[in-house]
Amino acid sequence: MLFSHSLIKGGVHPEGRKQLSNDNDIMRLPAPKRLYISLKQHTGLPATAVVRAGDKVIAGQLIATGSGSSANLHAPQSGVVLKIATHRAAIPGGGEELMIHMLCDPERQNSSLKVDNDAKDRVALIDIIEAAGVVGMGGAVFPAATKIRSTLNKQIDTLLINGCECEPYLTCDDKVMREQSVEVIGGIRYLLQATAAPKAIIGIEDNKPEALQILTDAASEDSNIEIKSLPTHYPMGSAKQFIQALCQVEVPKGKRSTDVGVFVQNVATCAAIYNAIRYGKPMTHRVVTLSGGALEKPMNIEAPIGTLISELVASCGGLKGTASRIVIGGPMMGHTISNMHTPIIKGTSGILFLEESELPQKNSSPCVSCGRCVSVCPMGLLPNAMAELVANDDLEASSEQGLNSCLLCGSCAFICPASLPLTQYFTYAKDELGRQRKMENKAQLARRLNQQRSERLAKEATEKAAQKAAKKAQRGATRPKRTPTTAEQEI
Amino acid sequence: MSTLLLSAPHIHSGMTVSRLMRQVILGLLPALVFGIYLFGEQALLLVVASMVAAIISEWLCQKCQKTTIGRLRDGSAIVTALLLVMSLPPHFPWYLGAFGAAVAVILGKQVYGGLGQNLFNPAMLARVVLLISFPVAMTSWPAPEPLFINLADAFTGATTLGAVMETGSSEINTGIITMLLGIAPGSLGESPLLLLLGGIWMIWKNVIDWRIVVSLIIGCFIPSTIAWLISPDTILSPLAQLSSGGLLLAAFFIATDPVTSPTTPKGRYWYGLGCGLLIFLIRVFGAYPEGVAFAILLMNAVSPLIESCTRQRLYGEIK
Repeated sequence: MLFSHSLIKGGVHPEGRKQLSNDNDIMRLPAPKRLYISLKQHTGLPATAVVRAGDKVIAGQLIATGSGSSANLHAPQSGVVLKIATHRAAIPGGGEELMIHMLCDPERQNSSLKVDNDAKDRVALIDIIEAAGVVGMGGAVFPAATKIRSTLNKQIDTLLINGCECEPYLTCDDKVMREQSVEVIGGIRYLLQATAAPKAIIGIEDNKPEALQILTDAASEDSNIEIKSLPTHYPMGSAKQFIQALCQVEVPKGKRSTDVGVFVQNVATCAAIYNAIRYGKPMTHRVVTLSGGALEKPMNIEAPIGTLISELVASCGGLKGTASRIVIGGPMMGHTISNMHTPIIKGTSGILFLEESELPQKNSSPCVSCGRCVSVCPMGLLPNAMAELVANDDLEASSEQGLNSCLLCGSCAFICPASLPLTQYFTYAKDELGRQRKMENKAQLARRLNQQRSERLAKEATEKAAQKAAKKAQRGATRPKRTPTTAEQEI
Repeated sequence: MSTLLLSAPHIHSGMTVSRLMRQVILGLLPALVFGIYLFGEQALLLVVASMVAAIISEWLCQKCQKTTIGRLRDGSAIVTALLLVMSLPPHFPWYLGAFGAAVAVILGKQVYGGLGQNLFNPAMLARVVLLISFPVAMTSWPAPEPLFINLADAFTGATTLGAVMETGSSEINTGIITMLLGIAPGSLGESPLLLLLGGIWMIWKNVIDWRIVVSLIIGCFIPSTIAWLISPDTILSPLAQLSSGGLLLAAFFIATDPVTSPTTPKGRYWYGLGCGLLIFLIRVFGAYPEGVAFAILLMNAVSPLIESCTRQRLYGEIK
């Protein structure tokens, strides 16, 4: 490790703890009674509900439409829409969001999308993916169709399929690769068509030998799909680092991966794309890892979107002790929640119930400038210096240091001997800068509108004055000037 | 269930500052114990007195100044005291050693605000204070008197480096084994083999950065090889340069002090090279036979500059 050449810069090697949940097969959750399907599955605009309270829906029916930055939503089960109202959501910081509340029917009726599964045309394929509401399941939760559509006017040389799953504890992608290899490879074939890329590379970290073997076998007849083993090294699964490791190119600052001729998609998304195009199945379920020391039986569950976390826990045998922290996502980048009566969304890859002994110590000590954060930063930043600037509220200077490049991957905070909450500083600074920028834009808009208003008023005033003058002149021309009466003179 | 919402990451490497300090102390132990074995109870008294003085000074400063950074239990005061005594003559009066340790902690660290705030290495700062204030005591080198082994009277009262400076001749009368073990007049913790042992263990444990160690040794080795080839009669051979004085102590334990060295990987190469070169220059051309403390302090002063000049390239940054 000391002198070894690494495919990506920096990075850390957290303990995997994947054996907790990767032994059992994916469990299919028996249909839950109620579902709470959030209209806001990801950043960007929420979807628009197309059902009303009291409507009967069948599984797979469209219940909300997306627009560009958001994806379509479909009913995971048949049932009745109870209401469309706010409900607690499993989002950072807590809070409520608008959700479709559904009471599910025990009988299953399915509706599938009407698709032409022999479609060859790129646009037609993308349209199916869009209709099925497929989103990136690796974490970004960006509508897959929107992302693929951006390749229409660009040359894609390589399709990179991300099977790294570098976050500790999480095994949902691993299980999908092992149990749904046909769907994964099938989805990649469709993606190759949709992006017109000549070849695809699946990158998998070497701590998943079974997945590597199974996918190699599944793709043995595809000459244009290559499976590559990558060293287990966090954050290998971050798109930028993944591209760097597989293609030895860096995505230039401010550019997208498609600008360097690569297109990255997660393995589970590929399976969803396959199901959408081949069977017309919209994206209504996902595999979620439930793990952590406080859970009785950690495992992977395929659950309908909108299932409450408490129901998932119950089907894992409940908690064995107290969970000191509940984390949505992986332990390196996930966020905590305080309430289990919140539903999962399309991007929920894992729910971790961590015991006190698994958590970092809470008290930080002073920075001794040991430089470990600098050497592990995959982006080449100086986290210690940036954090100090943020602590002094000098956000401008920290953004000059490259704050915007920060992935919030947590490598620096993971390694920090002083246990400084570095990621927290950067999350705050990024949010705050975004807010300031928004305020600045708002203020500019207000200024502009105000200026336009005063200009308009001034213009109107001059116009009025001109009109008045013109009228006066007209009147003066037609009528002789009125002479004051004697009574008026007296006053 | 706790409702505290805490930020990611939710796992940690487990490394802490006090664990780092403990590992540094462990790394120092072999050479320290051997030094005490060589120089007897007077050396032991010096070590104990300095440690006690450092701990008391640290405690007092933290009591008086509530805003000071760091805790007594982080162990940094003990590391500072040990680094100082390792670089002192073994029979240095214990009360002066205690004074030096207090100087290191109070003037070297606490006046800057506490742990992680100081510009200069506290131990080296204190050593220079002692060298200038008590030149005689700081340059009297007793011959080692180890237990169980009767050494011949082959040892003069000067260190290898001191003898070279006085006589102007590079002839040394010690055998290679005694030289590598450090059985010669010199500072308390100068045993090259044992420093190497502790240092390599620390690199393996990822406590210190190998970059500084390697570049410091290279920074001293290359110029001394060139100088030795030019004038073998007056310049000490490169191997003797490396194994004498505090060079290895500096390379593994002092230059690698995280607080006073640059944080950037590239900066660490330059910092180490600068330290090594300055040690060589001061030894050969300076007024003092040993230049480690001055070299470290000089490089400490430019460390922030080195750091800002060696910023890493950002991912995706176009230059």
